[in-house]
Amino acid sequence: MIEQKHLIDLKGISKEFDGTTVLSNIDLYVRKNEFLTLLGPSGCGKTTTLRIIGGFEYPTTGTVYFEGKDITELPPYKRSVNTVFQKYALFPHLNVQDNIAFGLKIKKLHKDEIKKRVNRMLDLVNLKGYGKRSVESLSGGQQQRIAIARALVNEPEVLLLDEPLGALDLKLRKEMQLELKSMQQRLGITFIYVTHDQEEALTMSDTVVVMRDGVILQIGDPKTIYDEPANAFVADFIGESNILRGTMVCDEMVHFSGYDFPCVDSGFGENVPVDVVIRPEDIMIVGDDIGQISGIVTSVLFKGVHYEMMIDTGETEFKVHSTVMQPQGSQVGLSIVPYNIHIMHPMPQEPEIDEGGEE
Amino acid sequence: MNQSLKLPSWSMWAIGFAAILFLIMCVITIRRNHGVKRSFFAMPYTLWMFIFTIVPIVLIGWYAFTDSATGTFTLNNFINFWDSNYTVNKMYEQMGPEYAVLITRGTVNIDILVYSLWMALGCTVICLLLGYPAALFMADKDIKLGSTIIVLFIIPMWMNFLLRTIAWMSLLEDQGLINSMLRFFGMDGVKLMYNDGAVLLGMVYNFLPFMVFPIYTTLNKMDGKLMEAAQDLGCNEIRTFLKVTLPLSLPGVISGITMVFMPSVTTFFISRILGGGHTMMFGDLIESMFLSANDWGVGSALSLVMMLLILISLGILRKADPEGEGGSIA
Repeated sequence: MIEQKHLIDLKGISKEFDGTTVLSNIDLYVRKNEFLTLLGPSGCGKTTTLRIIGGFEYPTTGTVYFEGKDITELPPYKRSVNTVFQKYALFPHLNVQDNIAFGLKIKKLHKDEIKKRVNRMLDLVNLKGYGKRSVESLSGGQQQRIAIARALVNEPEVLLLDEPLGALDLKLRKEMQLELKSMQQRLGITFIYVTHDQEEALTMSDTVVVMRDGVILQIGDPKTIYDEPANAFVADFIGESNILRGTMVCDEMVHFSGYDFPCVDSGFGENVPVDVVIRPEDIMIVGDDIGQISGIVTSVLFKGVHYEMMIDTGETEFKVHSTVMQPQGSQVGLSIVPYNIHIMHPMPQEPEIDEGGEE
Repeated sequence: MNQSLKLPSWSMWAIGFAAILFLIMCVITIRRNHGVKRSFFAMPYTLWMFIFTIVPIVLIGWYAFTDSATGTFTLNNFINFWDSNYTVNKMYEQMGPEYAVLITRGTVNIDILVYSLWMALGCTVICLLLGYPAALFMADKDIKLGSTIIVLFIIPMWMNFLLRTIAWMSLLEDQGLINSMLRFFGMDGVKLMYNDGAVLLGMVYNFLPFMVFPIYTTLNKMDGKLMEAAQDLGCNEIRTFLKVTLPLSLPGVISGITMVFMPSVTTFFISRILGGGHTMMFGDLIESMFLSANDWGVGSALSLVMMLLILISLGILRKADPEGEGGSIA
């Protein structure tokens, strides 16, 4: 599906606002037909990156290429990208169909053609018959669809989406995620999507770009990002994790929580401090006598699909997810398969994780 | 009737007394911790409205529809308003030959009304043409000077309206600043005062802020993302303005038009100071009917006509901005 051709290239992009660095030296490419997500906490620079691609901000240094042509200085109205804004930015003085037709009227298309395309779009976003309604009379989800229709009707090569589902409730958001994904596949348009919701990023994307403090931490497909996080911050931001300080004893052996554990990583050197990341669902609860370590269940939370248990081994407290509940206070054994222990170079400083909020 | 009203002295005492009484009542009720209805605190305002708004309007209505001599119902005041010679004769009779200027100019009530409307319209159009770009400039967040300009607009408003108008005299007079400068550079003096242009200038100067601020407010609270959306959909800067900024700022424009047009139609004094009695506006006519010609009946009739005009224009403007988004007083 995704062609190898680069559609957009960002080369050495930096952006400063009044002396504060928002982006520092970003290198990124977007392939044709790709669904690429910029993921990160508030203030990580993901929206600024999107705005630079859209033409609403100009980078302090660096170049933006579109199909190999330098478009760094090109104003938004000359770029073949369209944007779905965070709070939709629908024109309140126009009704639904005039909102959708806005871009086509600017391009001076024939009336019948405009009508045809607007109706097709209303069909696509399941809002047939809403054309004459005022945009302010619509619900958040409907406004959101209109915003998508208004952008897509222009048949852009790239659609930029700035947290488009942020204002919707959970159920609607999940529905829209699937709808957006299928729309993208059907229409064959490149999507660049900004979100702080890791689950959303993993569900929809072909490629996830994890950002923090204006720097790209990791680029990869969702599975790689989840299974092989580049560092403890990515691991913690994507899903839940136990992040522990440990020491690499030798190749394929790591020491943490008072014991040596076999692992599959090598090449770190001997007696080197490392970060150890273990997903809560990767820790198996076994009989007290056969576990690698043992601990006491200190709390149990029912989470729907699984139970979340905190298990204190004396030195560390592990977060464990399991479908089988162990009563609070019981003594259990824990066992971890070697390839589920992820070893990474320690982060220079403690990551601060701020999930929620808007930029 | 004798119109030497002694309102100021006794009314001040009455208002002062009422205010003190109200405060004492407030303190007592709060101290007793009785449940006080919130409407209780609106009483001074209601009273004020009644004495200074409702009563005068009723009185104007009364004077307009009664004969000043007999006190019986009559439409003569309105008929006199339409009679071209009535005002002229009345003024001549009351004020003597120094008002001959007005007579020679053939001042007729209806002409004054039309003239006032034209002047007000001109003033509104000029204010709009000057005010919109100014508001646009002030609301532009990229221009750091914007807030300074707002202050520059506000500072003159701290000064009394009459003083500001008189200040223009010293600029425009034959011996004024501008003419002195011209003469200093060896040019001939120009007659700047006592014409329609000078009156218009004075009106625009005084009423311009009332156009700028409502427009500025709507522009300022407009979501900047909408302009970005327009650009995203292919509009250049000019089209973005025409298709998004301008239509969305219309409530402010309408509010501005209302707030400039209304005082412009009813204005007086500016025309007397800068027009030098050569021009008379409807406000001046009403004023002279009451104070110089001492004809309260016709003066009230004129006021009612004026009020009707304002109500009609408010109605039209309200149609254009039904939600009053521009903070319009309509």
